[in-house]
Amino acid sequence: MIWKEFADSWSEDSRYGDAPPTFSVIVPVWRPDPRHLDECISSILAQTYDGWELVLVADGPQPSAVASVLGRAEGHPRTMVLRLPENGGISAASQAGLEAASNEFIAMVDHDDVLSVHALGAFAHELAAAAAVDMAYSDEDKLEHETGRRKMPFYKPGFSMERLRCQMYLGHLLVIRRELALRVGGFRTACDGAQDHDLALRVAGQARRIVHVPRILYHWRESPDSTALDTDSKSWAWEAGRRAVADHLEQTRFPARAVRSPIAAGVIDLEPALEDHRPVSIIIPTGGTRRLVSGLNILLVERAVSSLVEHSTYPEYEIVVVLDAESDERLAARLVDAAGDAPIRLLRDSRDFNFADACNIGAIRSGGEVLIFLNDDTEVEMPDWIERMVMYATRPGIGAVGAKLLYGDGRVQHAGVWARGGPAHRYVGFRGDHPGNFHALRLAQNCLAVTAACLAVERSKFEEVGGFSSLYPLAYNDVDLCLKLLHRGYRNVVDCATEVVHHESSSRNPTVKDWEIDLLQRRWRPLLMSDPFDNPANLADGVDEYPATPSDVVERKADVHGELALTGRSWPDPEFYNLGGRWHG
Amino acid sequence: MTEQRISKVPPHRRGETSVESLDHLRSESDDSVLDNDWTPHSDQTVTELQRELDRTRIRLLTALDVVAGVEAEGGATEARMRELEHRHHMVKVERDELRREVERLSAATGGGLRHIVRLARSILRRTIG
Repeated sequence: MIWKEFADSWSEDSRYGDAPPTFSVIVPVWRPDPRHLDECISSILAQTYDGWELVLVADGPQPSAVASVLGRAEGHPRTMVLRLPENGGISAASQAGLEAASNEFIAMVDHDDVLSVHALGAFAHELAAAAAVDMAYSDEDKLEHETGRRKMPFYKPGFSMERLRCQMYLGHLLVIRRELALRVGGFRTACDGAQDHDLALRVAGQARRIVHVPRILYHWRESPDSTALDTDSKSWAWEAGRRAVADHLEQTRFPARAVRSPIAAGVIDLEPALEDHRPVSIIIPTGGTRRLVSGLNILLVERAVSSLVEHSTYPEYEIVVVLDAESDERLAARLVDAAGDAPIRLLRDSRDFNFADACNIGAIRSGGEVLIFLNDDTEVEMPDWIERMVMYATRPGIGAVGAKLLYGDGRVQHAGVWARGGPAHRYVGFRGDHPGNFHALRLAQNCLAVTAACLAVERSKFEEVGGFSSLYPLAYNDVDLCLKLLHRGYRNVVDCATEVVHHESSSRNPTVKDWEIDLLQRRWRPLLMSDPFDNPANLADGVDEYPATPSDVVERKADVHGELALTGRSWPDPEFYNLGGRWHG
Repeated sequence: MTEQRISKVPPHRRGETSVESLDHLRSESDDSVLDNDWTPHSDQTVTELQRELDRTRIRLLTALDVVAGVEAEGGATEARMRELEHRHHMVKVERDELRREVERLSAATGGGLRHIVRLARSILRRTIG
């Protein structure tokens, strides 16, 4: 495929700064196929970048064929072989390699995988270009076990703490500053099988900067006993991942329980375990619109209120409905009936309809510490949706929290907002049960923005950035709010494990005006030009999780990398737009 | 929902079906909005105080939004400047490298490159007159 050829191209004329970074490539070895081990070692020895050492750790006695391969590798001047007397497991072997390593960064490679020959050079370029990088990761693909054919590229997003908490999406190739890895305690035997995830979580909590290298630099072999081929082959590894996340939640006092996803191997569900229930205000601007839903002519806002009252289990919330000037007077009585015993406030804002203004006055007139803005054309079916949103919204480093919204027919209407399409909702039209790009539709992750059709934010953060801007009366006020929060250093989150039904724009004209786009671009052009949570190769807006056509990939990469060739910088480049960086919390 | 649960939320009137009007927000030219010397006094009603509070908090949100917007536009401008400076630097680096390469090739060919160029020009002149 064309994407492989382009991904393998690399200019040798790169810059590594005055103090080029150095790498210790650590390879724990435990009875691999000797041909695959040889291929792995050869790919490291063939690196076009010189600043590395290879640390092979024989985890206990090895078959003679493997021992021969190790012996030949030992002849290379920059290779050392540690021979552990007993098989202590991959964590123990990795730790031994970490303690023996002497270079600035460590890079973990599995004993039957293959590096791109440009891997270390690409990382060196990125580490030299950005200051104070403590962890970096690249994209990857898979090698068929027998044929070695490459397939299934994983174009990863920019760093997302929220996604790392649910999934070890960083994968390979992972590079960590050696001093920091040692400082946080290195590899733990208790997390054998998920030792990289465990270490990455602890490093992320202290890293000054984490960089994504948007190139496929690692080829993960589908061995029969590898999760690359069979996700069920190492159930114990997934359980180790759950334990690693559980430990992380406890250490960071994150109010949730870690549970293995029943439908997605390697994904950890976070079940809310809130210690206290802070008051929540659910703000619903409405014009009292009716529409046909399942053949019935329903009053949308009445359905929204009754559904959330019926299903929600959160104990401390109030509903604030902001009616517009045209709302029917009888609407008030119907809404009070729909609310039942739930506290409800009714406000009439007779100004010309402005969604931003309506939300703002609803927020001003409410009493909750957490605000949830909800469209009048939504329906709640999930009992703990408020708990899930509050769980994220009350974290100190998190700004806006959104949910996965589904059309009435079950298809995805929203799963976060990205800059592509100027900006636009991700995964629109996908099946509701579609996994997304490597389970992206099943877990929480950071994104540029979320829709205010269902948006939670702490009141203090909302007020800090001035709420919704009245400059955007109808469209993009939510994107602007989220970008203001992002600019202040908060992370926006879409939790795809939280689902709400949204009939979308049935209440208002969904058309976006040119001046609205121009206004958004004037404020936020750099972020909209290079979405920090996207990948330059992710072009698929269609139903496939991989690039639509090879020609699309080649054309887009030529554009992006034409820019890269001129600037010599990576994409996206945090230096060009400082996001403040509240990585964790 | 239990009574205990409700009582923890700031109190409001239960069972009230009337809708509270926010008409006071329509009056953009209301002097009280612009009167920075406005102070509450004892014969003002709770309603009037609430309305003044609404206006003030809206003004505060608007001001904070303006600040955030200016910061954003400033950040965008700075980012663009940094990007342009870096691109300028890289172009100069590439230019210097090309110059050195030309000099190297010229020296290696013992002036042959210039000779080839002169020869090509003379051929062109003879060909096209």
